[in-house]
Amino acid sequence: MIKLKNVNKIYETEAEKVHALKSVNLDIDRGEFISIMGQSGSGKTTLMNILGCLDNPTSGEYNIYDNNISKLDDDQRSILRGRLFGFVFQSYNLLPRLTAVEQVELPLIYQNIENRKEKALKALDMVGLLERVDFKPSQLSGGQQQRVSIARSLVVKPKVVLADEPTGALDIATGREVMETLKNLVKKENITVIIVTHESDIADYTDRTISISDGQITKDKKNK
Amino acid sequence: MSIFDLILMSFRAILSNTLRSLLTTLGIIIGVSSVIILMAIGQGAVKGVIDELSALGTNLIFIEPGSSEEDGQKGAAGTAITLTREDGEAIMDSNISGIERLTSMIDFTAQAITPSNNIGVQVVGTEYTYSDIRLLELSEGRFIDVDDVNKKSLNIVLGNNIANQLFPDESPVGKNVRISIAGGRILFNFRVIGVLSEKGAGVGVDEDNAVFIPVSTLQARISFIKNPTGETNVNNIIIQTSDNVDESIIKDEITNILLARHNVSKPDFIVESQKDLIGAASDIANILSLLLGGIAGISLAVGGIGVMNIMLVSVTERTREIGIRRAVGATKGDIVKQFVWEALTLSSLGGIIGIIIGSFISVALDGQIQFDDFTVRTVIQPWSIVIAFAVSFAIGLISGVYPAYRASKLDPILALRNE
Repeated sequence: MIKLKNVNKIYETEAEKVHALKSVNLDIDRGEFISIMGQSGSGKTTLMNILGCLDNPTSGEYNIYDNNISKLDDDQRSILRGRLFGFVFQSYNLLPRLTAVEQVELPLIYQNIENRKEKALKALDMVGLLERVDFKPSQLSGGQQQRVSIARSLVVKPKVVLADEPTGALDIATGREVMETLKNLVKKENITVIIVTHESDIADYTDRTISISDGQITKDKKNK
Repeated sequence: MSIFDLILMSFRAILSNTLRSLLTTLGIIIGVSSVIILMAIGQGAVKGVIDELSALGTNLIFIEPGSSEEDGQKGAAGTAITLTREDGEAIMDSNISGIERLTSMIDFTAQAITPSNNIGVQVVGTEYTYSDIRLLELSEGRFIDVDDVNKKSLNIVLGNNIANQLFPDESPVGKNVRISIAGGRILFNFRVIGVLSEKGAGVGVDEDNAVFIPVSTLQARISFIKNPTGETNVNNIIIQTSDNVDESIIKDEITNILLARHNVSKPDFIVESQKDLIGAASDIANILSLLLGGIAGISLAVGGIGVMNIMLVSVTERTREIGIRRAVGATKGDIVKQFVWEALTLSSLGGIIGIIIGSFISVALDGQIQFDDFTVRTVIQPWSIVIAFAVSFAIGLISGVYPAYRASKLDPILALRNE
């Protein structure tokens, strides 16, 4: 489904040139549960930004369903992002003023989708938060907030959910719950889930672990 | 993103920081309400001018001498001595249709003397038609009549103030008043035949402080008001037309008659209708009104800067929110719409509140402020409300666009990382 061919990403600042990704080649199929492992500064977040259409590669090809999308402009990327991808962040990134159900409705607003509330409630049901739909982030625990953000990523029926250190701000037990939630999604909804992490026990939850170091893929192995 | 979503979004953002939103809109509220109030005062002045000019009578046409020209220097209107009583008679004799009545007028200052009093007055020499044209009412006696004019009588009608000052304790009718002209070189004894009701200050002759005598009397007895051809100079001629006549045709006919009589190719006189004067006066007053509104508009502009300032702060504060919205699929255009709409909502709300407050104050102010005999009136014109609202809307648009543009330019990756 996703194919990266010889992808490079170079950040240029006045002081220096940072070669964040070097000739990355990667194939990801529908319904895979993948972790991208690496130290901070290894380029794993850059890889995720490119995969999630938040950024374009400097060179190389990014194909989704055999369509080259590496040269899309900002608006096209926004639309593609809204339709194909869901994002889960380490710091949840919920809007402080909105209730859980409104957070989940947000992506639907930008796609002019009808029956937003119904769809949002369904997504919250999938992450087991139906009894908290009218709570604001400040009234929810960290694990609950992360589940709201997972629901938000699911509501558009994405092909891919990208999770950047989804358990990074959670204790071990809650982190496990979140990982279980994600794992179930892969099975039930046939969604590709890509997790970026630096913890190997989180990576062990996934079926395939891609290790990245200094902007290059160093290891790509299937987990048992 | 539907318009409904935009409205909901901007109201939520505004209500999430109520105090700040209130203070921001306060600038717009003060600006809009002062625009409304000052324009209402300006329009009150317009109405005042129109009322005063209308109080002169109805359907009037004024003829005045033109300006003198000496060595290429043009003097003010009325400085040339070109208009005569005979001009007026010629106009009446020509039977122009639509002219009801006409009066020539001479006025100058003089002393009015009784055995016990001596005061300065304005002497007005008129035809008997003057009281009908000027809608004068008498508290006692009668006005100059056709006999007085024909016989060049030495009868006089006193303005209300003059009567009270000259005859504080008795009825003036039948009493004698001596009029002293040119520092006492010319003296006439007049008999009082009537006293005018109080009229109040207005445009033109201050009738409360004037005395009225037949113009024919002046013509017969005072030589210096005659021009070299023996005709009597007058200060102006007032014509009253019937209702619903084409004044411009009458004005043209009058102009032709006077051009022929004066034997000139370019008019040495001015023919103006009351409507022309009202038009000109209300033009001036409207300019005054817009000027006042413009001054108040400065405070509105300051309010607009306040809105822009807060919108810029808001964009900075909500960098992360912008990142989140971008991540879940908002385009740059969606972000622009959101912030522009927010600024529009803020300033339009301020505009509406300002219009309400300004209108209330304007209505409450009407007639409450007085300087001597001048009362400040206020009139709220619908178009001033439209202007005030349109300006506050435009200010919202202008002050929202730049912050919104800045918001849309944020890199979603960096915006998401923003703490």
